[in-house]
Amino acid sequence: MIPKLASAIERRVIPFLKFVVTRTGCLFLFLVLAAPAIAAAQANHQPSFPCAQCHTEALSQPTTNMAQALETVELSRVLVDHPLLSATYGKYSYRIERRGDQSIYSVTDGTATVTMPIRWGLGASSAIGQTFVLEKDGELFESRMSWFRELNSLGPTLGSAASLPADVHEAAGRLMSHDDKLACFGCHATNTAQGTQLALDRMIPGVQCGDCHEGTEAHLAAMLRKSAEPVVPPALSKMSAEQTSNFCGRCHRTWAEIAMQRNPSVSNIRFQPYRLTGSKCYDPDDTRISCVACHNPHQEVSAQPVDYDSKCQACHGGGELGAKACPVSKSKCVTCHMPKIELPGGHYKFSDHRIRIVKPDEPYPG
Amino acid sequence: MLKFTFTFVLSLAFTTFAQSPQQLVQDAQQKQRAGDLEGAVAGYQQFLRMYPEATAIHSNLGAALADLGRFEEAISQYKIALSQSPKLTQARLNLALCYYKMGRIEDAATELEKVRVEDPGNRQAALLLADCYMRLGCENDVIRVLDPEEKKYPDDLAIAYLLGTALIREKRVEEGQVLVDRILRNGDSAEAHLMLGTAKMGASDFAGARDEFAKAVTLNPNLPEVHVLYAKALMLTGDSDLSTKEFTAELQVDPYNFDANLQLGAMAKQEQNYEQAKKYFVRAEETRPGDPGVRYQLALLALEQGDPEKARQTLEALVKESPQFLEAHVSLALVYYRLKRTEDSKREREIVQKLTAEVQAKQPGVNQNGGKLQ
Repeated sequence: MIPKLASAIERRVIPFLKFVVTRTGCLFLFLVLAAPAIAAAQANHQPSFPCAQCHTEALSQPTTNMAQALETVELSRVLVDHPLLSATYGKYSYRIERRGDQSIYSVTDGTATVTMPIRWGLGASSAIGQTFVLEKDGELFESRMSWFRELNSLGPTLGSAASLPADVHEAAGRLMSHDDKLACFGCHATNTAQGTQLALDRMIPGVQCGDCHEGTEAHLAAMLRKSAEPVVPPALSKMSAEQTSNFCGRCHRTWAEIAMQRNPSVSNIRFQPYRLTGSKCYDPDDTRISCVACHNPHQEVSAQPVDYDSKCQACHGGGELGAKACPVSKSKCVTCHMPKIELPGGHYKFSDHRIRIVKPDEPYPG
Repeated sequence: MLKFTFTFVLSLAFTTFAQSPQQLVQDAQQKQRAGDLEGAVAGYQQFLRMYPEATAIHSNLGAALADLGRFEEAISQYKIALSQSPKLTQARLNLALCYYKMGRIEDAATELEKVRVEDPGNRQAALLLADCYMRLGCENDVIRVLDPEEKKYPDDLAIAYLLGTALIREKRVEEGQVLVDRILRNGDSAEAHLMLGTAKMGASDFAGARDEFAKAVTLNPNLPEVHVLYAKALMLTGDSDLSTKEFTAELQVDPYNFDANLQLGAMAKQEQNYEQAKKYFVRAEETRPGDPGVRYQLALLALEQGDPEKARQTLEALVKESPQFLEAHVSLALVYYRLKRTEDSKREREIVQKLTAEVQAKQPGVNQNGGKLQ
């Protein structure tokens, strides 16, 4: 826990402070805020993260995978811990080689070779896997090969196996369009755009406080000024289940977005807000079935089934008229009612958030 | 060109008039030719107060008003002229042009169909009618109108361009390709790149289409639809920022372009610029009255602006008219949620699932049951 926290400080707090300085132009602020943070990072103690001075949630949030949803090449644990990664896929051979604090991604078909430096890793090193953002001639590319924890090696990036690359350039990666960049960085990092313009120079890796809580900059500045009437970001805890689904669904995908894609295949297993709204017990107004009823976004998600029992029992333990009690068990409800389903090509089994009585050999309920 | 069609008719009509009214008309005509449109309008109106049955003067007044951009008044004048003499083909053509310029494309097409009956050899009317159908998204009607014209005028590149585009859009690629080749033989032209781009769009080669449209824009930025097609290709290749600029550029060429107004409205709505979004949608609706896509967007706009009841009414009407309109069912489910009509919402969701399953079943090779329970 402590090393992870220190690593998070290194990755998150210091870039955040740089951001604050850039935005406010205030060296004093930097000195006041950065000094203890850096000292804490060095000492592996809890940080003086600016928000954490008042909000304890800000102490644990940087340790979550969501907070580390984007890692720079310098700090990616996947790349640091694997100085040489290699794989062969079809006629193409891939290598990712560590050189100092950089990593170089290359692909060859035996005749031609394409080499590109990695700029960022999308996905926390401690989570499911990491896809790399490559740079060449001012353009960004999504790597065709990703690292997967389950494989502990490289494999085709989700969605890329559907087509065969026409040449070694295509085999290296997919050119990211303007909209791709806005969407990818928009969900994996904070402060990535000004309007419709990408602003990677001011980007902070991962999902920071300000990504969900509107107006944190103004709030922080007001608090530092000891303003009598500080700007207060809107309270998210007052949202209904539907509003929360749509809020989290901005990145985790809403029911409407997926429904309009007309694809009921198992590939939508990873879109939890979409899956959840298909549950028989889903009620748009009942906060007991909202995303945050089970998941505290300021803490890493629990993998222990028993941790969710009380959430199910809030209704099925007599809390809701008509919600039947399970005749089989009152413990580890999710193991039966939210089965783990493999995402094809994702090398990971996601909990199906479409809560239901699962019947043997039932087809996947899209 | 069409303004002074009735000069000859007039001169005959006024031989029995006193000197003063004839002089009044001649003076008005002279002013119209000299560009003094306000003066011409005043003269015609003065004359019509004395002789309201003068069909030709109503038509002349319509032309002057149209040149001033006062289309509503021009339309009134043309309608009076046509009520007095229904066979005044030129007045009907001018009336159609007024509708066209106002973006009332359906009305323009209706009038042009009548012109075609009265004057089957009128190539200008045929081209304009085909253009109307293209804007209305009725490619089969474009083909119906232009196929015989293309046989009569094989060297007319405008006909080849419109007909070729319609054929390609209707997936009759080989027939369309013949016309593309004809245009290409005439050298590098915006029309040729536009048609090639359309063909590539049809083949889902969006990057290739984008490059063709970019060339077409460079060669002729005033070609109808060139910006809107480029904008669509840009959207599909992930550059919505540049796409917005191109949709806006299309409106400089054609303020009533349906797709540009619809897309810009949707973009403005997404940016929560609701007033601007409404302006675009209203204009799109003027071009295609009752279009389900525009009505759907207006429903979403109402929802965004906190009027779920209005959104519900529109969406319910849409799904009643078009039961396969999946997006409308999805949005209606959300509206019912918002209105706390949970059971209705669940019913809509079930319809969405059923429609999706139907679509899925039609796609060979797609595995619906790919999930393996662990």
